[in-house]
Amino acid sequence: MFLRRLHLQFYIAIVGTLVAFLVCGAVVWHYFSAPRGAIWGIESATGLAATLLMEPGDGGRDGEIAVALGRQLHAHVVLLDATGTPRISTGRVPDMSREETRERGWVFTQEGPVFTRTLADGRRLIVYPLRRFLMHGLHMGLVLIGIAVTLALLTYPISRGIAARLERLREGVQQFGGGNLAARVAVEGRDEVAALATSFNESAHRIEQLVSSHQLLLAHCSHELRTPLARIRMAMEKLPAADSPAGAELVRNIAELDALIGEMLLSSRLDATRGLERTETIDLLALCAEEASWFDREVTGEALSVRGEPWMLRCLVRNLLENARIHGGGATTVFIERVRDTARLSVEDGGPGVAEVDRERIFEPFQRATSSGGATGAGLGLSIVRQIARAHGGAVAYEACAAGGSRFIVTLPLA
Amino acid sequence: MSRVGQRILLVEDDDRLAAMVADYLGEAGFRVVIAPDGAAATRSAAGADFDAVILDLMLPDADGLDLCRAIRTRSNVPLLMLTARGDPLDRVVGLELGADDYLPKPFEPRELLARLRAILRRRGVTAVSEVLRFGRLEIDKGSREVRVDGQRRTLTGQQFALLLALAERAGRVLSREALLDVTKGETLEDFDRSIDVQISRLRAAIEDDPKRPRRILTLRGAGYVFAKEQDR
Repeated sequence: MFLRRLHLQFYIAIVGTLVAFLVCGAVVWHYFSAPRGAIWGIESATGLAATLLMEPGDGGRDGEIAVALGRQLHAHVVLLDATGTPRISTGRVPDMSREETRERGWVFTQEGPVFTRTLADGRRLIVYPLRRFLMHGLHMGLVLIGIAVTLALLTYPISRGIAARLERLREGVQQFGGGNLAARVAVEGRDEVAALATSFNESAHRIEQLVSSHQLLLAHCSHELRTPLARIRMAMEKLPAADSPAGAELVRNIAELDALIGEMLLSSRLDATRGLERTETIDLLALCAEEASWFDREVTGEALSVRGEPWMLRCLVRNLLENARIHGGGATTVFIERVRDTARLSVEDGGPGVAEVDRERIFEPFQRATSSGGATGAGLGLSIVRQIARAHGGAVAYEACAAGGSRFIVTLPLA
Repeated sequence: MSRVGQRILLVEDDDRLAAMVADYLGEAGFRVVIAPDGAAATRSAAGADFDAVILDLMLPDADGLDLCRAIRTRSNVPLLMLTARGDPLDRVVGLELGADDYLPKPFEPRELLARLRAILRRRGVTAVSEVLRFGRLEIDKGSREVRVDGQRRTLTGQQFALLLALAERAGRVLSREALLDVTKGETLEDFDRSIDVQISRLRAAIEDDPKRPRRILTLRGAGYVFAKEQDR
């Protein structure tokens, strides 16, 4: 594309098509259509000749009249007798059916348009121009439509060329939006589309940098926070009262802080929409049973395989069980079933449930149900559950149990 | 357990934590050399023979993973990674690069000691035989031994065959019939008792609390599953 501006490309494509159509149409019109005057001339001259032919006299004049008529009109002239046999002819006799020769006026034959006129004594005068023309309105229309179709076919690649680059740009943007922060688009040409591609690439580069520096910052925060925690833990070994209730409380708080740092890291990692990195086929029932064993809970249901990152799915199950433990007095049922082409994991508890207004809010980070009162927990658990489920192409939903507790339902696509 | 005076290289940029860890390990009978950064670690590792290396992944001047790879290309010294990043991916990558074990910060000092001793012991064995490891549980296929925290647990031949069948399919639900099938090939005596009895004996041998199993789990109506991740 040598044109710098996209609107000029469009403009020239439109104007060019229009001009091409007009030129082709004019050429066709000029060479193939019959001027109105010629038609009228043929009709009136033939009528005059017919009158002359009916005048009494010897047959010798008929030939002269026919030849003179032909010369004047630049046309072939044929005179048929009443039986349809050619008597005088200056050119080929047009191949016309019997029926057609009886008609008066214009007939279309292989020789082009032919004008016939029946004389009073049954003879017929046939006149057709030396140069063929298309006179029929329908013929003319067909030819013009043909030109239009040809032009349409010829100009398709041009519009395709303009749109294809937009299409490639769209694909690149979609990839980027889908989480592939390294996605860039090729810069083609020098017009607005190319400028757009360039600015997209620049923005994408900046966003990628921001996200990675954010990740790096978090990784450093994690390091900076966990090193003092490790020091506290080491120092406790030196304390004489490390095994006292106060010591146990200290250890528990270290673990809670550590878990919170881990959750924040994980949440931001999932936010960065990097997608899954090391997926494998996982026996969901076995994985849930493992996690549930740490809560002394049993799992029932079908052995179903899903595809995902094992540690993330473990985290999902653990968070649901932890949530049930904190807010619902522990999970009462952990059940896995197949629903169409998804695996459905339900975790039920016997707690008070979640009020209608809070059912969407509980999946937001650091939001908890207004009714949960003084319950502990970082408030990231369920939001991480949702992030992990979505990262795996699934979803999580809340349902109220008939008995009054909560039921959390995670659906994941089957492997 | 550990020979007195085993030399440990501790690569840790936080000098206060490094001092405490060195002190703690010193009390346990190790001689600890501290390297505060990657350059010092490379110098120390090249200059002397260490019995084990404890390596922090986050160093001011080097990526711990690169250092891990560099150490591994030169020697087979037991390597314990220590990291605050806690991203399970780091752990996978670290173990793939040749680290023998991994411990996230903050850690239980006793766990650090136990794991350090475990990797030292493993090197002592330099197992030609294949060993399956699940956290603190080791299943030695060569000597047909089972250890928890390095301590041998006695199992009958049948029980070992059953445990091996379970462990080799860790993370997958196995029905009783499937277990019968796979263990029949392993033992000459046939199972005179039901699988469930064998399982409960196995639990008594290898579970920390047989009433609350964490390693061999029952799935009602489906069978048993051997826990893949016993490391916590």
